[in-house]
Amino acid sequence: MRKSSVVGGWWWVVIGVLSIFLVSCTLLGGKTVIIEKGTKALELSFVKDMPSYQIYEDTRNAIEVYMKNAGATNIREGIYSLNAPTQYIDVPEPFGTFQLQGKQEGLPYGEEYQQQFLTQTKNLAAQQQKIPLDISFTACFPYKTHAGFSTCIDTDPSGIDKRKPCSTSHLSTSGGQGGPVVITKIEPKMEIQTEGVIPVFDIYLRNDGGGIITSQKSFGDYCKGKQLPKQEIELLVLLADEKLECSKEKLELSSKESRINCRGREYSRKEGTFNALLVIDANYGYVQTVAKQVSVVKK
Amino acid sequence: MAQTNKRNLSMFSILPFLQVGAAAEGSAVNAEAAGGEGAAATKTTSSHEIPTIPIPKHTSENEESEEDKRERHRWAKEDRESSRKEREKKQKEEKRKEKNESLITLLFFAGLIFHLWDVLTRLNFSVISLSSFNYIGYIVFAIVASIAYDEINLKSILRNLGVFTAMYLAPVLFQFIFFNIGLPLQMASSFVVLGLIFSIPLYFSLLRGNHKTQLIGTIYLTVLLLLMIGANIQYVEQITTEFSSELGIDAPGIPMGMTLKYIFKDIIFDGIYGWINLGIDSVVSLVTGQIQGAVAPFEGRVESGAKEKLGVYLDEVRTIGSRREGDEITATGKLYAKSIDTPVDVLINCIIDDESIIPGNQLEANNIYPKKVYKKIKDVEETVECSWSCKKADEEKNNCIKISAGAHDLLMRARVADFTTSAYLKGYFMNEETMRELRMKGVQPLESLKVSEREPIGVYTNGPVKVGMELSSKPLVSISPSEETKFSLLLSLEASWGGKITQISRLYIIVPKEIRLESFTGTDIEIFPATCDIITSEEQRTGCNSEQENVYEIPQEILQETQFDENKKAAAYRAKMSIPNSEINSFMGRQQLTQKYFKLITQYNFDVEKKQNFFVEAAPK
Repeated sequence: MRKSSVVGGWWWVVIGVLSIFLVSCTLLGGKTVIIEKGTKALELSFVKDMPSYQIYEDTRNAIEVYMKNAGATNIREGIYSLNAPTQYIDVPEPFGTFQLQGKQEGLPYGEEYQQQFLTQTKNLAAQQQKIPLDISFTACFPYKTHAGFSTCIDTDPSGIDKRKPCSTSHLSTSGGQGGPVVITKIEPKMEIQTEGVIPVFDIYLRNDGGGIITSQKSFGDYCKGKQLPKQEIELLVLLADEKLECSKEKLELSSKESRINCRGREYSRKEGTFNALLVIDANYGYVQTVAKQVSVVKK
Repeated sequence: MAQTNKRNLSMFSILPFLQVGAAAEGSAVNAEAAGGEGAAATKTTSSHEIPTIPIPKHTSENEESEEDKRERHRWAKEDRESSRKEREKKQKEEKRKEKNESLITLLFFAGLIFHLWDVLTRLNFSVISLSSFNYIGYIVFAIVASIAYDEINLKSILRNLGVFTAMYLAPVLFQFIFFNIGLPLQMASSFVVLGLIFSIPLYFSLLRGNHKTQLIGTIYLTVLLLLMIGANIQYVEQITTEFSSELGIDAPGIPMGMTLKYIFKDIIFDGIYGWINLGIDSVVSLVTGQIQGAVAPFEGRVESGAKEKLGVYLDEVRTIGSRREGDEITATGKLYAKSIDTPVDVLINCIIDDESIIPGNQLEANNIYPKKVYKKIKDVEETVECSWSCKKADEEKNNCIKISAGAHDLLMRARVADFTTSAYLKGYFMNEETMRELRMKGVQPLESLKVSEREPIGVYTNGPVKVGMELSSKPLVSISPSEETKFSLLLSLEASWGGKITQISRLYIIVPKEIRLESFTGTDIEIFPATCDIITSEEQRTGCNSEQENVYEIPQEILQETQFDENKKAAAYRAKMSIPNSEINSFMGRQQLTQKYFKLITQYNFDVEKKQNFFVEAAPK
């Protein structure tokens, strides 16, 4: 009785030390960041007081925009444009390109950057005290949502085999996959064939990033003032490294949730029921805007 | 009438019992004088003249009692019938009275308002023609009173009308009496002004009202009498001070009519009116000109950065010194000019209506100081003095003006020449296809681009003219890449601050260089684009950029066609515009959404007026 109580006491000491270690790790910044999580692509904001809410007429000012790639995709060829009414404010170089790395190992929060624009305000009319104007910064870039899910290829949907390792079930996700286009739900179905089954997946996607989806190829058109390209998401769906045939090659997202249907090859009953990895890659162009209302005031 | 009827009915109701008593008495007498004396007894009773209903003839006691019984039953039945009718009538009367209580109270207050209005219209000599409306009012009240109290018939209407007429004429009679017993005319005329104390509200409260209206009516009557007494005392003081002034003491008195006007109009009416107006103005500024849009067709709001009222005002216009026929009449006023950066001319003029001899006769002051204020006025407060005199020097210059005795209107006018108001309107332009694409996706274009002001309206600088500006396509104008884009700029100008625009001297429309002005308010006159140099005022040119903007000056012939008239203080214009296809890339500047500003500069002449009534006494004989 005495011996066992001593052993029990030592165990408590070990557990206590481990707990302190774990807590201290967390407090010292050992927070784990999940890379492919979140619904943001870029974080955009105007740097405080650049510009301030009131700027004087006929003065030089700087506008500075803070950008951070908070998603999981690297932006290699983003385009930006600063939009300000030219009748009251001159922006000599309102267009440009940018590159920002996304969240990854060694860069858990994504790359940040501040873009500066030098501007010149113009004179107001006599008697006019101030004029309000909107200054907006728009970034256009290609982006990607990459997600992997474990799913069950159930070659025995009628349930004859009681020892099968898994059965099909709906998958719901939350929190996003590191991009503004979010895969919200996957509904697998096994279509029974004479020799086996064909796995069919209904995949639901939604734009949770607050921006506008464009096509990956002509992502920059919007920032160049060209006609807005169609919202096209190119989807690549792999099941156990095999490409699935989807109902549409390019998906157009509606304002709410959109669905796409993808079919795999036929799996015979002989292959048995097994777990497989379903990988979804959504490629698209994305547009994000940040705006600030400022007033040009009389000196 | 009802009480009298009631009394009569009561008399009728006790009659049958008197008859029964008399019959019983008669039968007793007949019993005493049995056999052959019946006829004498009948004669005796009839000679006493007590019974009004003849006593039935009877031969035996039994027969008599049966007849008596029948008669008694008949009388009793009649009595019951009349009592029932009386009760029913009484109930009806009570019900009607109850029903009429609220109507009487309503009539009392309506009469009170009507009375105040009547007094005000009489005091405001310039709207004397309005007083004829009051007679119609009196007739209406007489009819309504008949409905409320009596049966609706011509007799009751005429009776009420008679009562009102008597009440209406009573003060005139008092005036006549008081004047003839030696009271001064002004003092006597106060009874005409206040005379309507015997008027409608008091009829409804004192003569026919309930307890509440009687109490209010008494208070009202007391206040009016006190006012009249006060005004008369003041008049006596005035006479005394006028005597003092003759002795060289400057102590101007206030004529009683004006005192009453001051009490009724300036304090009560103007006060309430001003208070209501202030409230309306506040609401208007809150809803950013939406109510203004009801007057002028297009919306606009005053620039929010404006610190205070900007413009020219006249205030404290009054006559000073003597107001006796033949004397020099002097009027003063204060001219305020606030926050004006641009030099403006302000021309002063003073006019007195003297219609006693020649209708429509208007006399301009022969001495005005200063006649013209010309400088860069900023926060100026200047006293203006006008006088109408007939001194020797005036006679020599053939510039002699005499104001006759009686009530007059004094009008002080400040004419501001070439006052400038500028305005702007923000417009959003977007590629047509992009707009369609976004809308198809359920995305609102302005929302997606984080535009703060999604329903822009015209913003104008503070001043006496409100400018409304709108684009025909709201909130976005779609730009077609394949064809010319057409839209209209809608403009309106509306006079405010109680003044009026007498002439629009200039109107400039400044638009982005790529925009063409096709036509202006449907005229065929071609208007060519110009650079900012066309704007005459150097200060106004500062807000214009010739590299990016074109200026269109609206020709005088168009402006003259759309002049303001006195009644309609607002004018509207439509400027048809287009963006040629070749200019679209430059116009949009490689942006999906572009903000462009349409500017307007207008110069106009503006009259600010202030009116005042005053009374000139007759010269002592």
